[in-house]
Amino acid sequence: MMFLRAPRRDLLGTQGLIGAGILTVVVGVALYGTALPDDAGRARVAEPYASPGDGLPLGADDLGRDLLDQLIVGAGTSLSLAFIVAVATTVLAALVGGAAGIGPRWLSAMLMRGTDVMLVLPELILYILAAAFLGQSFGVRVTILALILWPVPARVLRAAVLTAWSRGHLEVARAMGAPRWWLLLRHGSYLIGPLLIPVFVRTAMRAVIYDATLSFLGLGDPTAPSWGTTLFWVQTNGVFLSDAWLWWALPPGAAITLTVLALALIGIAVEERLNPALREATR
Amino acid sequence: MTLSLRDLTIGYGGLTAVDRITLDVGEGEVVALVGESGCGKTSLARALLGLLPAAATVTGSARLGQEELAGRTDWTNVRGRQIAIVPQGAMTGLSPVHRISAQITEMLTLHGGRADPAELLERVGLQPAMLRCYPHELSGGQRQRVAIALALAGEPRLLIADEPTTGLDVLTQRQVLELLAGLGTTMLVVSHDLAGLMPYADRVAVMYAGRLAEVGPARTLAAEHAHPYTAGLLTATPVADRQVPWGSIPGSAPALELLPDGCRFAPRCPLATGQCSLEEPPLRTRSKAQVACHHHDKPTYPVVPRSVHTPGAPVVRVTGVHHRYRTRSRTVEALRGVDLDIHAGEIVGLVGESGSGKSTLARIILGLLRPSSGQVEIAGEELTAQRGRALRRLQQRIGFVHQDPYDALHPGMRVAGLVTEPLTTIGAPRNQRAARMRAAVSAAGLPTTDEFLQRFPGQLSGGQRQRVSIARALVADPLLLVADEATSMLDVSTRAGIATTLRALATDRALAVLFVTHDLGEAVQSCDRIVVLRDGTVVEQGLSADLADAPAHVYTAQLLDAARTA
Repeated sequence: MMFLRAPRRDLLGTQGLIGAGILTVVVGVALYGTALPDDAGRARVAEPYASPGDGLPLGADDLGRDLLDQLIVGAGTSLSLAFIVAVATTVLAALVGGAAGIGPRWLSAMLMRGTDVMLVLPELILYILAAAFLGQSFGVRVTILALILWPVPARVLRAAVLTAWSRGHLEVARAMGAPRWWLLLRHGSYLIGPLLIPVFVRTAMRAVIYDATLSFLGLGDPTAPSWGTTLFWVQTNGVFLSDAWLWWALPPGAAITLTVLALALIGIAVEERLNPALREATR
Repeated sequence: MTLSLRDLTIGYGGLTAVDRITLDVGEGEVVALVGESGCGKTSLARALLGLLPAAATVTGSARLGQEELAGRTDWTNVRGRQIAIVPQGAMTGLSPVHRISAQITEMLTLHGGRADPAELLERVGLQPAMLRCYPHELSGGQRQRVAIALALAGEPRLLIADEPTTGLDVLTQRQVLELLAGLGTTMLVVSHDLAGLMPYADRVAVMYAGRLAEVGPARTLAAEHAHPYTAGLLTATPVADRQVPWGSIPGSAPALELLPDGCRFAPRCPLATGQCSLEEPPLRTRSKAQVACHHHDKPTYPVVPRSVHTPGAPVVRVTGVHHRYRTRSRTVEALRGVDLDIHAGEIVGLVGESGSGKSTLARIILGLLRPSSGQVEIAGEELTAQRGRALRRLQQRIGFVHQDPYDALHPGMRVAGLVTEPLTTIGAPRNQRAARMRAAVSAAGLPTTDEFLQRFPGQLSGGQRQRVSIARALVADPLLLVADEATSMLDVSTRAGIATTLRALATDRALAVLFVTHDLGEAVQSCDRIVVLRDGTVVEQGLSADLADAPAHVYTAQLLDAARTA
């Protein structure tokens, strides 16, 4: 109806804005972390098990390493890993989903059965096993995560491509004799592109959780400070038996929770607005 | 009086959608409220049931017996019991997971109806055995009847039917209207189809841009209408008779923000004088009717030109096309051996009801679908055998105008970009593109001002969008234009305009046009030859004039009959 104008498109809403706010703080901390010296969080700067005090707002761990530095450097590790994994996964999912959507039937069938097999495998266990055998360096972890996380988004994107393919303006363009790549880039991208944002955000979220889990189990890189690694030392040192959990275990735990919460808030908010299926349901 | 409206006004945040409507509906009377989309008729119907969005304001009075409906907040015992609605698209609104009996019983319980579900079904002309059916087992017409039965469950004093025939085939439309008229209930039927409702209503109220233009007895309206807009609506409805001209009202209905001063119809009216744009004509009684117009003359509208039929060389030759849709459980035979020729400069109408296979045939000719067997030749080249690049090169010589103007244009592209796109895909020389784009836009009957070329589809009216689609189809100098129900989603007043443009293109550019439609009247008016398709077979084909005068097949005669009265 002409007089019922669509509401102005705000991509985030209150919920998403809160998420974006938290994420901005975490990114700011991570950027500050890059300005710290290379050995921040690794060098011995105080007595082991030092309590919070002057110059050590969060005290030190069992090797006398600054816990605040570990927290700050860890933010950088977590976020950069999440970002690179999310980019790689989104690209991979877009390629697989797009090819399955517009490709010939045999290709579509093959890709989708492959996706089904991947979906059956438990992601976290696969990640832990792969990391344990293939190594724990940053690049290897990113590669493994990207290779594990693509199936769900690939399915979502394939469905989006198929829906887009039945739209009028794509049909017209197809009848005009436009090649497939043109259809996908000029017409499909307009419909599918917005769906990449929630895919990106949710993948980043899962990457943060999975990588923290890996480090917590002691299977990550023990020399690089990260939130999960700090928690691993918390566990091995029995920190929860003393008061030290307050400055040793709580900050990295809260950091992981807040980052994941921020990404989840943004992801849900964006998806509710951009995914046509959910948009119908919430109305 | 069962329902009496006095100065009923509905506004949405300062914009007036319905402006001071005064109208009575007597006991047992069927009143048709007719107007084009955006004229406020649906707002009015919804206001009577309190179904408007919260942002809407209703002033004035709407009395149903002793009950005041305008501005009411407590609708218990009113909605469903005193006044009920058959909403727009009600047949798709039935619950797919409940049997018909359960849905009727629910309505009876809600509104305290005492009728027996089986009796209700019989009242709307359905077998009681259908109580055990699920909606998907029924046809569209049957589902619409169920929706009417649901509205009748609370034994309302007033029944409102909002576009009760939308989405139904012509023959079914008539049956549904016959049923509604025969119920004996007081009724307000809201519709865009003036000619279709006239035989079934007692009185007709014509609305334009939120105001009543004319209210008069339906029986004599065809001969004695007084408002130029009523005349326009009547001439814009195509009649399956070549003797009756088919006209269009120029322009399109104004947006709510841009309502003109004075008479709102003045900018489109052939009779308009200076007085019309200054002074708003009140609704005055004139013999048996009430009319809001300063003039007493009959207006003349531009009509679709007739062509002398001189076909050129054949452009399309379809021979023995069969098509089967296969799913796991069943095979549907959509086309069973269709032959069809289209010559240069000729408009061929492909007529059929939904499910007749007309869209399948159009898709096969467009090269979007490969037929199970048979051949399609475009300008001597075999289309069905081609693949990949060769197929695309052939497709670039065919223009396609999609049915749905709201979905057929990329919402993020501007008019100029949309029309240039086909040139980009065929790789036309860059320095020619702008000129060819402007030529196509003006051939499609659109302005070529820079402001217009920079608009997005969202800023265009339905008719303008369809013209942009035509410009897109034309720009690459095609041999053939396929218009798939190109006018079915447009307002009736703009349809003839599109048909006129197609005719001009066929004549000037020697373009072969395949005009797919479900409306035989429209085909008779605008096409040179007509092919009637039913269940995948051509039941009849011939020159429009001959076919309209003396149909050879019973089915064609039925369609003609429906197109004449409705």
